[in-house]
Parts: sequence; C-alpha cells; structure tokens
Amino acid sequence: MDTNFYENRKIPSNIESFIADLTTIMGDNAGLLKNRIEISGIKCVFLSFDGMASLAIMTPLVLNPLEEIEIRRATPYELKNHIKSKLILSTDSIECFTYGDLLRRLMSGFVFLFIDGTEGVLGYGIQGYERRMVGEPEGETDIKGGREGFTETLNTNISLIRRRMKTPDLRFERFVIGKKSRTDVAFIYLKDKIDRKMLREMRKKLSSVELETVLSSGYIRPFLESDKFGFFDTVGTTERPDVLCGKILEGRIAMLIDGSPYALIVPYLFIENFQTLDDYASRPFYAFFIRMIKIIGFFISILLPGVYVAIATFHPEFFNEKLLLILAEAESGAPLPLFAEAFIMLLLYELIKESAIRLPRAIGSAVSIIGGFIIGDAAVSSGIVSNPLLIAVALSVTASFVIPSLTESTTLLRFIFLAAGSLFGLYGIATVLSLVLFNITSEDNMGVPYFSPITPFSLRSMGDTAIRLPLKKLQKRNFNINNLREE
Amino acid sequence: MKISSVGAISLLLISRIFTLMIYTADKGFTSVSFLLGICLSTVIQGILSLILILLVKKSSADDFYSLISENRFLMIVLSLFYGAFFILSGGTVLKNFTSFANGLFFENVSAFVIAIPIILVAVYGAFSGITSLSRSASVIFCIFAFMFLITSVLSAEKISPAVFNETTLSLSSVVKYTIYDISASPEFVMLPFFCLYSKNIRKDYFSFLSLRLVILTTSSFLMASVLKDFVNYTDFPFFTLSGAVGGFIKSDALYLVIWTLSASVKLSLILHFVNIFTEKIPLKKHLKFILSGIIITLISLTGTVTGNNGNSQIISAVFILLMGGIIPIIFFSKEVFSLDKKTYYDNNNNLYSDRM
Repeated sequence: MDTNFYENRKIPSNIESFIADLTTIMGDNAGLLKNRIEISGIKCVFLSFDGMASLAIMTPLVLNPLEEIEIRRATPYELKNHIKSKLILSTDSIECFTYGDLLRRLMSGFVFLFIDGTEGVLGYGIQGYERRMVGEPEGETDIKGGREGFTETLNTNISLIRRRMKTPDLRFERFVIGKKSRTDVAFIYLKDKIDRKMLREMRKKLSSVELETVLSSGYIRPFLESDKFGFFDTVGTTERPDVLCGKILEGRIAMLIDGSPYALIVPYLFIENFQTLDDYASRPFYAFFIRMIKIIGFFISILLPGVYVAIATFHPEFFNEKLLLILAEAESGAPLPLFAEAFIMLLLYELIKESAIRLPRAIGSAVSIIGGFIIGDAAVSSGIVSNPLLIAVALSVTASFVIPSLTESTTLLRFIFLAAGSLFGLYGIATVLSLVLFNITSEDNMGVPYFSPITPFSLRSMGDTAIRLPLKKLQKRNFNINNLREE
Repeated sequence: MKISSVGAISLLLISRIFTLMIYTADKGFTSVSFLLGICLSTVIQGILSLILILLVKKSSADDFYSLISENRFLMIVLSLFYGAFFILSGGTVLKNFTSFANGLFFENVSAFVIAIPIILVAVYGAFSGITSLSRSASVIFCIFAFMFLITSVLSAEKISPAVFNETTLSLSSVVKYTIYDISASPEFVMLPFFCLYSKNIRKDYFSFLSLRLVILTTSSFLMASVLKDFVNYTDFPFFTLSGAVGGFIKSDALYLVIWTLSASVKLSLILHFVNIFTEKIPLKKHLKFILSGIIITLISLTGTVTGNNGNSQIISAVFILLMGGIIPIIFFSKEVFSLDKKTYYDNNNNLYSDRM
C-alpha cells in the first residue's frame, strides 16, 4: 500500500468524514490533538500536535479570539470569512486543501481550524517546539568575525541571513524533500547575481532526490556534487551566516536544511578551503601569509609521512651526512620497516581522534592525553617507533588542523601517499600526485571548474586566491563565480 | 570541448619537455649544430603547420578526423595508420620512461613494475578528458618553468662560452640534429586533430613552437656550456645539468617528480588520441583506454620499440612529417580546392559557395 496515498487527497467539507480520514491516516497517534469546539453554533475541530505549537501563544492569540466570535445565524462560510478577514490570529496563516499539505504543516508546528461544511482548513503558524538558541559556530571559529552560527531551525537560520542582507534581491525558495521526513529545505541566492541556468540546474538536481529521510546536510550533498569520483568536496559547507552571505554575494547558491546547522554552498572552489572570514579583517599581506601557511600545511599534511619514508628508503642522498646519521641511528633500533612504523602511527592517531570525537568531552580529552602522550612516549621509548618518524607524523596531522574543511581528503591522501612512497619512492609520490592532479582538474560543479581560477587561469579572479588584494581593489573587480563558468 | 590557450600550449610543451629530460647526447656533441638543428626543425614544422592551419581555416571540416570521416574506407585506413602511430609513440614514451627510471633510480626493479603505476595513472588521465589534461599540464608547466628558471639562473656562473667556438660547421651534423628534433616531436602529428580543441589554433601552435624553441635552445646552451665535455659521457645531460647547479645539487630527484608528472600527461594525451581513432569500435570508452594502455605496456616491455637511435630517428622523423604535415595538407588541399569549384543553392535559390 502506498504510504503517501493521502498526499493529494482532498479534504472533505464534512467534519465527521474529516475526523474519520485523519484517524485512518494517523492511526492511534497520541500526539495529534483533535479538540471539537463550537463557534457561533457551528461545529469545528481544532487540530494541533503535542509539543509542536506554543501553548503560551495559542491561548491568548488563537483560542481566546475564536471563543469571542459571536455571529448570529451565521453560515459556515460566513464564519470562515469572518475569521479570515477580521482576525489576525497569526501573521503566518494559510489554508490547506489536501491532507498532504495539512499534515506537513501540522507536523511543523502549525495549528488548524476545521469548520464543518466548508472546504479547506485554516492554519496558523505558532510554532513552539524546543529549539537550540543561536550560539557560536563551534567548527568554524573566527577571531574577528561574528559570534553567531546557524542552528537546526530553518526559520531561525533564514532570519540570521535576512538580518545581514537587507536587499529585496535576496531570494529564498523553499522545497520539501524526503518521502517520510518531509524536510524543509531552502535555496538562498541573490536575484541580481545568480545565473538563471545555474538555478535551473540546481532545481533539477534537487528534484532527483528521492530519499526517504533527510536528516542532515550530508544527505543532500551527493546530489549536488558532480557524478565523477573526486578526492575533494566540490560542495562547500558553512555554519556561519556571514560566510554564507559573502558566498551568495559572489553569485553562488546556498542551501539550508531544516534540522542541520550546516548550509551547503555551490559552486565551491578548491582555493576556498584556505580562506576564512578573518582574512578580510586582517591586512592583505597578513592574509596572504596565513593563506600560504595553510597551503603549505595542506601539502605537509598529505605528503610529509610519504615523502619522509620515500626519501629515507629510496633517496637518502637528499639528506646531508649529519642528518642521515641521526636518522640511521634512530632507525637502527626500530624493529619494524619504516613504512610499517609510519602506518601504525597514523592508524593510531586516527583511532585516538575518532574515539576522542565520539566520546563525551570530558572522557574525550582524557583519551587524547592517554593516546597522545602516554602511548606516543611509550612507543618511542620502547624503540618500536623512531623519533624522527614520530615528528613527521605529528607534523603532518597537526598541519591538517589548519584546513579543517579538507580533513577527510587529507586523511585519505596521507595514507595513499605513504603507500606510494613506500613502494616506489619519489616516483610513487609523483604518480599519485599526477592522479590527484587529474582528479582535481577534472572536477567541476555547475560548470565551474573546481581548480579555477588557478587552472583554467583567470587573472581577473586571482585577486582573492592565495593572495588577497585590498578590499578597495577587490570591490572594483566585483568577482562573480559565474565568470568562471565553462560551458 | 575547447580548451584554453594556456592549456593547449602547456599540453604540447609538457609533451616535448618529457623528451627533453630524457635526451641522450651522442659522442661528439656539437652545441652550435644542435642549436641550428633545433631551429631548422622548428622552421620546417612552422612552415608545414602554417600551411595546414590556413587550409583548415578554409576547409569545411573542423579537424582532420572529421575530414577523413566522410569516406569510410579512408577513415578505416587512416585510423589504423594514425592509431598505430600513437600506440607506438606511447610504447616509446613508456620504454624511455622505464629505461630512465631503471638507469637512475631503480636499478634492480623490473621495468614492468615501473610501467604499471604510470600506465594506470595515464589511463585515468585519458579518461578524465582533454580538458583535465590541459589544466594539469598548465600546472605542471608552471612548476617546470619555475625550476627551469632557477636552474638557468644558477647555471649562469658556470657558463663557459669557449665551447661555442666551433670553427667549422658540419652540414651533416646540423641535419642529424634536425632529424633528431623532428623525431622527438610527435606533438606535430597531433596538430591536424588539435584544431578541434583549440580556440585559436594558429596562435596556440605558434606560441608553442616559439616557447619550445626558447626552452630547447636555452637548455642545449646550458647543457653545452655548463657540462662541457661531460655532456658526451652522461646518459641524460639535462637531468645531470639540473642536479649539477647551485641549490639543486643532490636534489635532482625533484626532477624525477616533474618528469613523472609530464610522462603521465604525455601518455594520457597519447591514449586520448588513440581513443579518437578507435571511436567506431563498439567498446566502452574506459575499456578502450585500458586496452590501449595494455597494448602500449606490452609494446614497450617486449622490445617492439627501441629507444631513439640513428635509424629509428630517421624513420620517426619521416613518419612525423608525413602524418603531421604532408598527408593532412594533401587531403585538406583537395577538399579546399574542390570546394572552390562547388556551388550551392540556398533556400531562396541564391547561388553561394561554401567558403563564403
């Protein structure tokens, strides 16, 4: 049986049929509150979901005004018209004619008034479910930026953006995704900046989502990415409304998902992984310095263990005599091959990191201390792992912290480069570099090459890449992502 | 899909740079003859490419493949001919690659073990498409250009002009180096098909030829003036040069990285062109790439192709000039001149020519 048989079913005008239908659809659902009332002698039913609507608002703003209505010998439609035209029970009021629409709103915190003998049900948005307050974005902290981050509530997030972009060109398009979860999602873009073709493509991509549930932004992300296998994310995420505003100002589309504090941004460029909002608060030369540190950090994080093993094993001539002797002495006591040492250390780090993330914070930090200090120290002092290798591994993982948006990719690539370097030395490293280069340059999203404006090169768009030109110059360039689009 | 000018030029340059890195000087290397040989080869290629490009502009076909596609028999014969050429070129590249790696870094490692990773990456690169290859090539070229610039600057103090005091110029040695340079330029065979990808083939190809000339003459000048007589005794003079100057001493393995990157781009490009000529074979694209990769590996490892020696250089040069210049010029001329004679009527019964 189709579980969504009611989706487009029309709501009857008879109150008994309506209640019977609701009972059939919802079953013995304890959460649905059906209160029969009479207003001016006409039978009505007041519907709400337990815990979804605000009781504090419902009584004074909806129920009390309804109780006070007195129309002599009123017909059902006269009553309905009176309520619709004379009373403002909520600024967010609607009328639903199908069960699908009604139930979706009901479960989003709307309350409904059904008047016997009329078609359609009047709904009022007086949501009052528990929600997290706006707080500091934990995964994307900035020193000089705002302290507000997205929450799990779509409407709150929309208001955070609206407050920062007070232009009528700001557009929100709302959709419902998820056959079961019926999750609200919203596109956000600036009408005067967006490319219409891109918008159509985005709508098309979204229409291909046929998931049962959408519980986080991660559920939608694969549908926005290109179909090719890629080492890197071509869809950006942010939990900062200020960052999101900056992105849509450049002609991008952002997407908010109810229940997720992370917004998705498309198209996204590789170089953006090295940019933060603080860069624009700092002086250009410092922003350039910080970005270079991040780029170097990226290469250190993916290459260092692999290159260290490759050079030490295949090309020791790279090291000067003194360093070579130190390394040889350190390695002489280690019982395992260099590759095995590096692999074990990296694996150990991933284990500790994962356990520290999953465990409650207090225990998580204890695990980090035990893992980092005690196990690390014991591994070195027992001679299982050499000190230089431990430094290489520690530097590599520390470097990856400067680019948190690339954590998944750097983790994977670090292991791949390590394996390649151990097997073939620098030749192996170069081979995997070629692979990564082919992969990264073949990626695009919505027609915008992921590696642009580096390649394909666009001088006009280079002002805010590794270098960050002064804002006076940047404003003249008026960068728009659509300039990088390739048909 | 059209590629950017930077991408097109880089793609062709990277392909040539690979050959430069594995250049082996023979006994009695004469620098001036070498320089003149390169210049002469560039002039020959430049003249032929100019004629070809002008004909392509006048032709109704976008590239050579679409021209020959009009005749089924011709298409099969030429596809076999060109497909075989690119397969053999790929085999030669791989052979040179494994010889170089065996000679310098992996003396006791089987050539097969060295060939497999690079051919796998090349298959992936070819599958990524020419756009991706051109973008990758521009990144690699930037890295090469940076290192080449540093090498050139650091070489300055070791330059000795005395080696350029050749009293007599031998015509035969100039011809020899001209033949060598042509034989090392399979990119020339790509030209008739490259028109399809390049937005402005004349500008792109002539920029490539000019830059190629600059890089080759500078590197041969440096090889001769820095390495002096040692150039005759080292297997890979350019590689030796890069490891012999300033801050690159002991760091020559860094060139191995650039060299591997360029080899993967060159092999991918060759596989891409092989795919063009196997378009009509009813196999999935990735299977064709894998199959071509296997054939190239087998050719290089079974000794079907040898390195660049005297006789094979002459044969290669002849084939490259024929396939890159003369054959396409003949076919395009035939088409362009026959178009001149043809007239058509449009919907309004007006007389017009295709070339208007």
